Amino acid sequence: MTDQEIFEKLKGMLKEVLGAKIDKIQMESVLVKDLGAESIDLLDLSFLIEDNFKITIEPNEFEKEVKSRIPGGVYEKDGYLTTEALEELKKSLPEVDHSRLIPGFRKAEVPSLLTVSVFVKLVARKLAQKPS
Amino acid sequence: MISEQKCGNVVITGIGMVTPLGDNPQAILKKILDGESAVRKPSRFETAPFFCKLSAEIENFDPEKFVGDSKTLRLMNRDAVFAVSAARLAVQDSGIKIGDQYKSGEVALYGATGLAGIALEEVAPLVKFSADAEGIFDPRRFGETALNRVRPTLSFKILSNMPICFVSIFEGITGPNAVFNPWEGQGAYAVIAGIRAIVAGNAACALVGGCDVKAHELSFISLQQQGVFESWAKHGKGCTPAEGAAFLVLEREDRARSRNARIYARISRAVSGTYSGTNRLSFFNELPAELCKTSRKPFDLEIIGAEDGNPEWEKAEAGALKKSGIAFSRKISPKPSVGNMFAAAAGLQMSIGALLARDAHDGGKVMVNCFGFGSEQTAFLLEPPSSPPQAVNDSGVPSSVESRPRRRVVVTGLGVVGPVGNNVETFWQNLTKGISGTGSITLFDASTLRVRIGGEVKNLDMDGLRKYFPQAGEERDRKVWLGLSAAREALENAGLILPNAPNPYLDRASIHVGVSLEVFFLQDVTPVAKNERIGLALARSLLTDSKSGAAEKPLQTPLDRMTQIVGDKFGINGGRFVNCSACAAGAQVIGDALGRIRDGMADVALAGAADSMLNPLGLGGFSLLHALSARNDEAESACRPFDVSRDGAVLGEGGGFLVLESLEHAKKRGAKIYAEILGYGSSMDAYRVSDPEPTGRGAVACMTKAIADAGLEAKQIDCVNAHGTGTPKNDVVETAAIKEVLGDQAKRIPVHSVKSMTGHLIAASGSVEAVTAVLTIFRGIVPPTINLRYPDPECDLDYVSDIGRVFNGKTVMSNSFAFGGQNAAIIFGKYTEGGEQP
Repeated sequence: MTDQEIFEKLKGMLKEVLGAKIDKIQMESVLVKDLGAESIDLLDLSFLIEDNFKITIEPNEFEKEVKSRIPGGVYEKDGYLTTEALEELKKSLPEVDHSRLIPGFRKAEVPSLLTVSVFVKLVARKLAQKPS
Repeated sequence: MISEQKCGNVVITGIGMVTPLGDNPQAILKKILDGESAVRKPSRFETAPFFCKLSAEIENFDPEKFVGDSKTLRLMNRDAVFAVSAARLAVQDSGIKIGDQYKSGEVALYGATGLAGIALEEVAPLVKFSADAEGIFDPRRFGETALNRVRPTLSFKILSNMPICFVSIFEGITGPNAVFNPWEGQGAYAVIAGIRAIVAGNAACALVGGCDVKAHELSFISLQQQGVFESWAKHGKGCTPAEGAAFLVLEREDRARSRNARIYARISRAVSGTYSGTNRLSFFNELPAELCKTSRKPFDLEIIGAEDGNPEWEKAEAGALKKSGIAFSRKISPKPSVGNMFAAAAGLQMSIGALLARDAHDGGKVMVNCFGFGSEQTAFLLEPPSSPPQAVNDSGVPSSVESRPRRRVVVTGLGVVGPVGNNVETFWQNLTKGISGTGSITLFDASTLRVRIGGEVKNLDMDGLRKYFPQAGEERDRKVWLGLSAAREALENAGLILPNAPNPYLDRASIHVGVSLEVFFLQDVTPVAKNERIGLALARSLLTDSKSGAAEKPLQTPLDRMTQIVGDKFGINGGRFVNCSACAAGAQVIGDALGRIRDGMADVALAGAADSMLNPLGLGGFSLLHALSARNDEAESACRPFDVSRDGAVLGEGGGFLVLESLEHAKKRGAKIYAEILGYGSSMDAYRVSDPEPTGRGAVACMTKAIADAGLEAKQIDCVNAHGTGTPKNDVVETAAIKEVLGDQAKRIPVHSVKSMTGHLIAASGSVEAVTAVLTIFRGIVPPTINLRYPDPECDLDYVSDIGRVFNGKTVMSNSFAFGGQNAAIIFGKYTEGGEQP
């Protein structure tokens, strides 16, 4: 499945979850800021993605991925991301707003960064990992 | 036992109905008068297993026409969709723009919801995938497979307070509130609560009503199990379950007239009665006679009858009217046309009554009977707007309402069962020592769930409770037993249980009970998981297999079960109120009881709550929302309120009850007084059902109201028993709200969370924390907040970390904030003999 095909399928799910107009949904749309997503919507979206693409998304998927690449695995301290974590997160999420990934960034703020393209990439990667 | 709510000059200025006969009030009335009926064969399921073969459904309903927000609609169950639509119609009908003529905090919201809102199709995956090869419920499969097949949004559909929370969000209502459940009598109590809020000056306007969905398969199973269809078996006629919602806008008459509102009717009287025991027909009793007895002049009366197709009830209502000797010109019974809307029925009866009253001539009146299942019955008397209003004082209170100073209310009995102790003494000892009650789940195999920890009640004396409460039979709902245990201790502690006879003090007492939602017994359903039509197979197996003992073991326990057992056992007959305002329920019941005693409607009240979500659906459902801590390997220190490493709440279970009493009554009988209740405030966020409002305005509003209600200043608050759940959002928002309300005082006083030890007891938390607040004052110790090592930089108050502390203060404020955005705060004060309020 191409990224574009995944994107088309995702649009339908975003419409269902967020009531967003299809033509407003762009690859670079930030879910929380641009499409009005709330915490429950992100959970709901994950559920629909898992169900539709038959893949599994772990809770804290991005955190786990970043952690695995940090030597020693220190991802956060007192709720704030470590400098190492911030750098790794930039690598994992090249499409998000990097100007926000500076010291003082809270772990709890990660979901607010997510764009539609983050999910497209995630799905593409998971599908590629799936034994065919 | 009959009680009357003083009505003052409260008028009805808006009505909104979503019914099987449509949503146009005049058209609904015309159809009822013409004898048209929406009762027919159900379209969505087969009726073969049921005694009742008919229902009244709402077809082709388009909610977007009313609320136009498809994003929020997808979180809503059918009952909530009806509720927000009917509420919107009522507010529009009144011509009120909330935020314009009335501030959002001046508007109260009281609603009733029903049993079993959820449709079976939505839970079908849970059933199918948690059955083993033999059809036996397997908790491991449940966690491994079934739970991943349901959308996380399901949780919002099953919580009983949600429909009313959605109404607050859509209408922007942030004033006093409560949600009642499950029958018509509780719907009438929602109307009465709105009247009281206006008469007591807590609100200038109120939106009241209810919603219910009984026209579906799962409801039919529950209703038949509970004997609602008996008359169909006996007489071939009976109650027809319907679905829908109905809301009314109530206003102070002077305010309504000053904005030139169109007035439907003035509510001139409201009388309620509790009838205990099993004789369902005793309930009509003498309410109609009571309702008309104080009227000096004869009047032309029309009646909105309660009869719903059951010939025995029809006879009983006719008999009661005959016995009362009152002449009436016309009796109109909506239920045979619209069907029985249960929790929404009182709103519907009142709406029809309002339409008739508006057209009645001067001197005419309309009696509205709200008689249904359950022990609680109410009748209202409406007057046409043309009849002369009563004289009022400056605050809009009519001279007929006695303006005596409000009575002081004290706490004279305590009872508790929880994760750190099964009676008040043990509970308190462990709490003050900072002992954790949370641990790995042992009540069922939780090994495949994401969250496997909770605060369980250990060694509950089930044999003793079974013996003491034979009324409870083989009840399977754990929260019922937890509540019975705590309620018994509170009454014993207050010295109100007589050895061989019911205590006459209790006959006039009211009981106020908080609970969250019905337990749905998955194990009853899984045996039919393989069937293509689960509903039909379930109904057949549960209702036709006499050996299953369906009547004793209902698939769902109605939320008034605990209330009825306690009420019947101890003869508490001065009103039985069932509150399902989620995590605020345990606090709201105390606030409601306080109001009732202050007003002189009761001298004694038993108020409390019990809850247990420590079952696969409860724990699983909450973990789907990622609201719980997943520190499964650190079960005892998982709940970390205000700590920077906190990652969610830990679910607990338990019950707490308080005996409230007027000071004069307590003194007269020489009762031991633990503390005084000084003030109460409730509010709604009107923000989102899933998140607390980020600025904490709802929390600020309820604390501010409670302080004002107590006649105190912020600097007189000496301690805060925080909601303190340990979720990332709550603790920051609550801290900010406390600082906003208390100013400099916030930094000087202890602010503690017992949830660090007990976990979150959901509906019961407010009551168990109220018991804690009372003991904090009475025993002079503040229990600690444990597991607090590194405070979040945004949580910068004195949280009493790790060890308890001596307390010399006079007041404690206890906070409770619910999922859905309902908030409540109560202020307790030290009672000193002969002393004035602090």
